[in-house]
Order: sequence, then C-alpha cells, then structure tokens
Amino acid sequence: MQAKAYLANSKHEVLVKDQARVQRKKAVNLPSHSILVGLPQKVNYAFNSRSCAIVGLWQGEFLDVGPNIQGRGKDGSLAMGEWLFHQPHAIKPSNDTSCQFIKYTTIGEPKFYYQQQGYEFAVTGTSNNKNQLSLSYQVKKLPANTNQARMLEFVLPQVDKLTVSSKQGEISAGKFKIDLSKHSSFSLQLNLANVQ
Amino acid sequence: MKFPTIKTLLLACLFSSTNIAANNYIPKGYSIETINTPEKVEFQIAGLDVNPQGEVYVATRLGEVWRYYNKQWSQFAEGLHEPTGLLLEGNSVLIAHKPELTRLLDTNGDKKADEFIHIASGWQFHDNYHEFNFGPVKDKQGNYYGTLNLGHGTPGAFSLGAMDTAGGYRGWAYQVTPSGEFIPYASGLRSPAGIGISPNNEVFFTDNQGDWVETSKLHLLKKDAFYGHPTSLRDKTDWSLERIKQTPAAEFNKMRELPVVWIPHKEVANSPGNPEWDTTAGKFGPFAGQMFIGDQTQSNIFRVMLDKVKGQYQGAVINFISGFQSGNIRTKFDNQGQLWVAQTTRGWSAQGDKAFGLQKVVWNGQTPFELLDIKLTKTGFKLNFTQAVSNPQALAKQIKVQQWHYLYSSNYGSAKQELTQLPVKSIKWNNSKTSVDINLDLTAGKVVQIDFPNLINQAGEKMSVTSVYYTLNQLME
Repeated sequence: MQAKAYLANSKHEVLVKDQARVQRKKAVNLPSHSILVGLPQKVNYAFNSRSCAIVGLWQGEFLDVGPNIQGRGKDGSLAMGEWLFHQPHAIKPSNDTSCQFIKYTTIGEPKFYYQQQGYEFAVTGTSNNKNQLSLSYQVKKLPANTNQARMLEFVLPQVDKLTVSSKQGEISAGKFKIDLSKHSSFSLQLNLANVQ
Repeated sequence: MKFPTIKTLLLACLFSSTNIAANNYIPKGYSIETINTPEKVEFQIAGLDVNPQGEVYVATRLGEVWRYYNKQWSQFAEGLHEPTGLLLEGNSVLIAHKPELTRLLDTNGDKKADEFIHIASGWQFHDNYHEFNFGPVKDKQGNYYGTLNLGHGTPGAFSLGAMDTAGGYRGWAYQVTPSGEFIPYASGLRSPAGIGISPNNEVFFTDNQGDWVETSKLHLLKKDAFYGHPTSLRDKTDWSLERIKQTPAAEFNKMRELPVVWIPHKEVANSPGNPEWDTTAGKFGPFAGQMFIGDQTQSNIFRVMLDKVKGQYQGAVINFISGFQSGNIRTKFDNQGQLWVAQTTRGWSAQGDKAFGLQKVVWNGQTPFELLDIKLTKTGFKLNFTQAVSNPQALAKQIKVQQWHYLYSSNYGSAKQELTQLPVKSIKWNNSKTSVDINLDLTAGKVVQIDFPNLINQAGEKMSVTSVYYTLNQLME
C-alpha cells in the first residue's frame, strides 16, 4: 500500500520532529472528518470524528498537504510513509458506529474524547519506536443507564503486517472484547512489521 | 468564489497591473498599509478578528491560527481544516472550518491552543473542495450563525447548474444555540462567503454570483427563508429531487427572498466577503454606521448604505477603495478605527500581485469629498455629500441615471435586462449644497445606477467614486 506523493510540484510536507502533530485535512485513503496524528517515532494514525474509530495507520514521515492547498485544493493530502491499514479497515466498535465527538487535546500526546454507547471515552496513541503503537482507552464517564451493557466489542483490521494484542481483553477472530465493568481503562498494542 | 476561464486568467495576467493603476479609487484621507506576514509561510487568510486589546488573530488556509500584536507574529494553532472564519470570544478562538465549528483554548498559558472543542458539525462534509463553512457570528442571545457552501463536482451530488449538493445542509445557513443544538436555519444559499452581524443584532450574509445567483448580493438572514438556489431544498422533507427538477424557475422565484442589495458584477464586486459595520464612531471617517465589504476578485472594498422602506431593508452599494495587493475576503475594524483586510486568492483570480496578505485601511482625519449616502424619496432619491458642492449646476448637465433588472435562472449569472436610461425630471439642491433631491419616475424591482461626475467641493477636489447603485425592491408610498 504505497502512499508516496505523486504531485512533485505541489509538495508541502508536514514533518514531525520532537512533538506530535495533528492535521485535519482531506487525505487520500481516509474518510472525511479524519484527524491525522503524527508521532515523533514515525508512526502515524488517524482518528475519525464521525465514527470515533481509528481509521488509518502508517509508518514513516507524516503528511504532504501540498495537493490539498495547491490551486483550489481539490486533491487529498498524502500520507508520506507506508500504510499498515486504511479505510475500509478500522478499529471500531462492532455494533455501533454512531458517536459524539467532544474534543481533542494536545498537551502531551494528542488525546481524543468522545461519547459512544453511553460511555465517554478518551483515547490516545503513544509509541516507543516505529514498529509499535499503543492505543490507550479510558472510560471517563459511565452511562446514565446502569443497565447499559458493560461488554464492548471492537472490530480490528484484518491486514498483513499488523498484529494486535491486549492485556485487558480478549482477541479472537478479528475482534477485541473488553469487560468495562472490570477495566475502566484498557489498551491495544499494535505491532507493526517494518515496512519502511 | 468563481470559475474564471483560461482566457479570463490570461487577460488578467496581461493587463492587471496597468488596469489597477488606471482605475484605482481611493478617497482622500485614507491609505492602505501592508502588514508583513511571517516569512516562508503560506499565509492565505480567510478568518480574521481583532479583540478589544488590539490583538489580531487570523486563520489561514493551511489550517494555522496566528496572533499579531506589537508588530510580532506568533503561531497559536495548527492543523485545522481549511478555516474560512474566526471569532474571538473571551479567552477562546472559534474557528469555522470545513468539518466543524471548533473552540480553541490555551489551558496552560503557553500562548498555544491545546484544547480543540467540538461546538457543531450537524452538516455533511463530503471532502469536496468547495464545501466551505463560513462564520461564525454570535448574536446577543448567544446563538452562533454560519453558512455552508454548496459543493462543486461532488461525486453523486445533485446539481441544476454549476454547483451541487450531496445533501446534509449544503447551501444552508445554520444556527447553533447556547445549549449546542444545531439548527438548519435557512436554505437556498450558493457560495455565501461572508456573514456578519449588525449593531442591531441582525445577521446579514453575502452570496457570490453564479448559477441561480444573477449577480452577487447581500441578504438579511431570516429563519426558514429560501434564498434562491434550489438544490439545497433536497434537505427539506417535502422536496424530493424529482420535485425540485420539475419545478419551474418562476416558482422558485416566487419563493425566494429578495436581496437587500444587488452588487453589480465587475463594476463593484465578483466575490464579496463579510459585511463589517463601521461602529468606530467617527474614527474611520464620515461613514459611521455603514457596511464595508471586501471583494476577493476585484481586491477592493465597497460600502453598503441601507435604507428601510415599508419596514424592509433595501439600499445601495458604492465602491470605496481599491488597489489592494490581493483578494479581500475578510474585513474587521479594530479599536483604533483601522479596517483590517485579510487576503487570499486561494486558486481563484484576484487583482493585485500577491497570492495572499494582510493590509489595513487607515484614515488620517481629513474628510474626503464623497457621496455620504443615498435615500429613496417619494419622488426619486436624495443624495447627501460629505461636503458642500461648489458647482451644483454641473449635476444637471452630466447626471446619468440607468435602470435594469436581472434574469433569475440556472445560468451562471445574468446580464443586465432591459437596461434603460431614466430621464431626470428635476434636481433640487439644499441651501448648503450638501444634499440634492433627484426627481425620477421609478419602477420597483430595478437596480438604479446614478452617475454624478465632475462635481467639486470648495477646494476644487473631485470625488474618487461617482457611481452609486440602488436596489429598488420597493417604492415609497
């Protein structure tokens, strides 16, 4: 899944040095409303404010926004590295795609807040090296309805070059199940094959 | 925003510099000052506000927010999605960008935004380049307002001309209540690139000439009103696509709101931005209370002089100042009475030799000799001037009055229809020669252009602009 710039004369590279960067742009291979995060470890991902899902993951440099600011900006920005996954793959709840995006913060690693299935969550991505991304989820608020189901199930991307593990939940058949009555926070470890 | 042909662009390239010099108008006492923008930064500004402390904030096409204070720039935020509006509110910055209305906060005091709070996104954004989100303005009740551009070339979208919508309130104005509810507020908008709120708490917006928009225009925003571009009706439950397609233009014409003013194409503006009211109480000269609007194509600023007839707004437009370096999309007065002008071409054509920039119009206290305002009377118009005219007899010899209307259709703009010259029945000056009544037989539904060349004041000075365009929706009884 090659995603290198093809419009050489319209390059405008957004590079990441020692701090994470966030870009909201129309981007090739990502759905609209995606919020793109570049981490210093050369691991990049996209959170989508409509689905509140992780809708893309790539390894390498961050983003070339040139096509999106060239002329009238009809073209999408380009992930500069190598894709691990992008749409239609995503890390998302399996039975509910609607959510209410609340905000994101940028002190430390970017953190996204949203409501889904009655819960308020915060998710942040951190990395130690270019072959790994940890997605840490926190339950910030419980549902008002105390009978709300406590089991949450995520669909995971079924792609090569990516393995997902978690210490808190179960992973099988491309799905991750977590019991929120036992875990108010959980994380997914995304191990990336070196595709650069 | 418009779609110039290659021929138009070539002609603009070949002749723009000489035309600018030959046709510039600038009233006495006013000058344009250029603000240096940060070096090596794509600084195409489309959002601008100034707070009472004199801090200027701008939002750029690249998605950055910058602060200008004490002649120093500092970056406040990055990563936003092609912002086209910025509003300062307390210690936060509201940004209208394509997918969202977002509040930016600096919570740790390092002068950089670190919290980006979702305020509203109740519309659909299909990643189309033309799906701009303009605004916001805030009324005294705490509601925010914005306008949503139609798309152009959106896959699978519905079109009856140049622009299209794939649904989701494209071509609508919206309101966001203090409790955060998103309310689709009015339909029929095309490319409504400017929104502003008057000192009287009334929201006005401009719309750009194109399909279903005969020439650019200024409207008063009313709840549930329809402003003329039919495609946006697809978001109303009682309008199917088939019903829209089968409805004759004449029916849409009966449904639509008339503009407060028509803005003659090329003569005044092609792509107007936000209306900005002169609330400087004289710091900006004699035009207090009037509306100033920049134009992205002509790179000028024009004035709007409102008139109220039978309880409804109508009025006139007149060119004010030209010769800017780039396309004027945003205007904002600061606490010193200076008019800041944010500029971008953004892939469209504009007068001037820069792709983007920031300038301001300043007044040095010298009263210019110009048309102050125009009012409809029972027998024609009253023109008021900023100073006494020393050759009033010249008016009768040289005045020219024309009228026309426009053809509402799916075509891209309209030529002037039934352009005719109106005979002047009589002219009557007041004793001080600062005001003149022009007696005419008028017809409602016309734009009336009055040319009043070669008048001079006591110092022998001529006016910089001598044509005014009055939108005559209604006559006085």
